[in-house]
Amino acid sequence: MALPMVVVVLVFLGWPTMWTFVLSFTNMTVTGPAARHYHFIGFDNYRKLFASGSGLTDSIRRSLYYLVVSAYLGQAVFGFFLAMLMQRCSRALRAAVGAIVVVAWLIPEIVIAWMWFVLLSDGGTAQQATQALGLHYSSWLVTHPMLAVSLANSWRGVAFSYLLFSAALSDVPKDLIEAAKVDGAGGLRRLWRIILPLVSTTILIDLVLITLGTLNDFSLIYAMTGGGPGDASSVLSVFMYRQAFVTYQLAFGTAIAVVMLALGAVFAVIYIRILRRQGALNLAR
Amino acid sequence: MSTRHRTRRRVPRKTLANLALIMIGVVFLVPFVWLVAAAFQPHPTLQLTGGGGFTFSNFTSVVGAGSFRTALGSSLYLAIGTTVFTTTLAILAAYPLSRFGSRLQRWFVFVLIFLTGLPIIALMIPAYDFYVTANLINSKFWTVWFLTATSLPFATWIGRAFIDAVPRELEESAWVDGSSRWGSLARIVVPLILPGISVMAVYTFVNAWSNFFIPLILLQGSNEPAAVTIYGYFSQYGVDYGHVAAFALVYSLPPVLLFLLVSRWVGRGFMLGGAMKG
Repeated sequence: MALPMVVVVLVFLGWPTMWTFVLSFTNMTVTGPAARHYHFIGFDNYRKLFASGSGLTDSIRRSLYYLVVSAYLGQAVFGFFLAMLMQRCSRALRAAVGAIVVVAWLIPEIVIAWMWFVLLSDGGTAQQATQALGLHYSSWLVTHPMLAVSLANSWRGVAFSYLLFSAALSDVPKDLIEAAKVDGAGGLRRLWRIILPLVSTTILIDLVLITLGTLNDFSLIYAMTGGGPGDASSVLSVFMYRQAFVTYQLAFGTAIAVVMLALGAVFAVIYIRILRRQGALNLAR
Repeated sequence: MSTRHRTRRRVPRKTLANLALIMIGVVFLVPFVWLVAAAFQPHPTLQLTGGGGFTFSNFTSVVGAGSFRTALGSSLYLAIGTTVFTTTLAILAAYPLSRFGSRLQRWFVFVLIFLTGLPIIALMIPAYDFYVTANLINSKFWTVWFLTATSLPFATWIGRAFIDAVPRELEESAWVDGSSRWGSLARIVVPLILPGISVMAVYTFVNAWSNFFIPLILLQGSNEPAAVTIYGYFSQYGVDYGHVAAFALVYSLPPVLLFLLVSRWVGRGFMLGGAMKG
């Protein structure tokens, strides 16, 4: 019964994964004379990739910035804050703001990219607003491209963390909190000693999932800035895409892809370990 | 602490929280404002203006325009095709995964989770090469299969959890009455996990509908779905922003409506249960 699924996954995912490794040792390009008769060149692509000035370390640095600023701060920390705040708010307001946040998460990423592109462009709403306040503004897509894409990614992705956390927080027993209050525990202490330990598994799962999602993200950044200006917002995925499909160094691109696959594998292993510890895999049957 | 004292302290705190949330809500609305305003204005610019009139003409011209219709048609083709193939194959694979415990099954689950985290963008170079070599490039049908492969690991993984929840005893009694494995899957398991299947289907549909980089690389011209068409307007001069804004709104509607519909039916918590597993 599982056969059709296995075949489809092997053909369309397994085969390209294997070929990524194989091609990374060749000199394939699409348009050049080597198009259909490339040959093996050993570790040359990797030597070129790990040489200084290849753009690899800068791309990894930008990917990490994107991960920390947009996923950890903008989605996880802000999502947790939002979930805590909503608990204290009136029901109607909670429903209204919750709906806005979730809609931002649901709409296609290309539309999100376009909205933020227009918002931050010269002549867009951000410039109008800052000029109304008497401040100078020139497009963040040019001056602060990494901050611009990180803001957009926080905005569209915070709903996922917020939804996970608000579900986990609503499972925290009310009387436990009340008992701590009676014992004189302040707000921060209650958060640190009672709430955080109770939702720690949810936090871990959320962090791993958004890490995988954010490190692999391509569309939002590519659509908003194209990796530019120059290569100022070229994260790992955009770096790979531009090498492969813009300058047509396909084989060199696959060497970058191998780095991405390795990174993804590390986080997938961490995820499996967390799920196992939690017993969510229930394989012991 | 007397109750009186507590209530007196709580009221302004709650007001403060409400005010903070209102501010967050307003800030969150900002990116939407221009898109919605531009969609209902005749000939809007990048500047947000209050005046300029109100019109539905952007929507009527978008619905009438051939290029927009072709793009939405492509998106629909990709999304429906991927959803049908993915849900069918995922349930067929999830069933033995849930029912037969073996070492092979254990490995299968690890591989599934592993594949769920696979950076698909990293596979696009060999995938592109494969599609060009096998002459499958620029075919909506074969793009559906690639999209199906990318959504199968997650769908199979949550499908297994849904089937786990169906008691074996229900099936066993059907087998006693002469039903086969296929029979009990179709007549007992599938009807019982319909809420789960709907969650799986919505996730698959929304992802395929919204995906940008797979069709960007595998499809061209009249096969391009809405995501790629909208991207084309980013750098194009002389575009009527009103048309694009209206088009973007129409294109954004299905995911929101589907999520609303299904989360109403199965409950938000259940919907999230699916998201957690991924």
